[in-house]
Amino acid sequence: MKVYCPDLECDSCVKVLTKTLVNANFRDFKFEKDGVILDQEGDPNHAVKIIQEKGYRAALSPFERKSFSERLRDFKENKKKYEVEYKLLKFTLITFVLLSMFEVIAYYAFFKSVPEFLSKYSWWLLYSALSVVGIAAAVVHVRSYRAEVTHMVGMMIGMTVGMQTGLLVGVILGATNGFFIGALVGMLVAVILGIVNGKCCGIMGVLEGMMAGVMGGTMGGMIGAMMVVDNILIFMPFFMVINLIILLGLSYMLFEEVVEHNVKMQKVPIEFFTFFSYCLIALTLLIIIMVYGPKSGIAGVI
Amino acid sequence: MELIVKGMHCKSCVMLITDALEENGIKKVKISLDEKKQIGKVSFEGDKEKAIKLIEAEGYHLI
Repeated sequence: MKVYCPDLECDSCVKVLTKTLVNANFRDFKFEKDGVILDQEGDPNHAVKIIQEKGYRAALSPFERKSFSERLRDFKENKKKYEVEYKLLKFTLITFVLLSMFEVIAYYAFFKSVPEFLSKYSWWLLYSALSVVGIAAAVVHVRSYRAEVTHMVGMMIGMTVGMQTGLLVGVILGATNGFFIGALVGMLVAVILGIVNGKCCGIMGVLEGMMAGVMGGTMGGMIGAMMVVDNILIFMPFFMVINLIILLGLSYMLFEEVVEHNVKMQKVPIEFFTFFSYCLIALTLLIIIMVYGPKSGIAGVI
Repeated sequence: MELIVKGMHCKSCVMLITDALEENGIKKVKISLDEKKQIGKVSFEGDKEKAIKLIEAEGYHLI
């Protein structure tokens, strides 16, 4: 009988489990890459229990991935299992509504006197709020689980956060302020977020986050600056939807690769006030740069 | 007592050394692991020479 144990990473793991099994009177067993094969006499359920007690994942069947439809059904039926995700979805929706209200209040309080404010900025205010909550939700989701991640997962986290942040911030500021501010701010913000989130797996994630930040920030600024004289308002809904789907995909991947079946994983509590505060500060800075920041290139003349 | 052990890179290494020491009479074993440097700081109460031998018997080296 095989006990599947996907957390076997090194000789130390094998030594720890060998000792555990020997102490529990298992005699003949053999380790494989993804588990341990027990002799006929040992009780496999007991083996699963003692291996789990040591902090490793263990089961009598392989740890298979759920298909997308199975995951969706599981998500609807197991609210307790996905409590972090439900909480974050709630926070995201409430924060988006509050940020939209904040923008309306800010318009009447500060920006009403700015010439052509609504025609110049109204769509970009909406996209800013969407981008801020989208990026914040993805980043907070990554940080709401404390677990060891593989280099591949860490690099994906760093790259996705860096690239999407750069593209979203870059395109907005590129359209309102020109290529210079779009690329500069987009790149700096994206590189910082790429480093902060990619460092969960060490230098590889950090570099991936930095490179994606440079690429996303400059490319986002370029798209915004170049397309502002084209049909950018038709382009933007598609651009936003695809980018938000990618951020959702990051959360999906995180759950699949880091959270599911991982007994060593720890949940980190998230607070609405903290989430909302970060979003509010980010949005406020974005709006200030958008409205009062330097304008260059095409954005300076239209 | 405190020892610095190199080559420790995961929680399994921590469990391995903790068990080896505690099973042989070393008390109050605490290990803080620096995964990036692959170094573990092992603090304990008991015979230092015995602890070194037990750690080396598990395949680790001291700095």
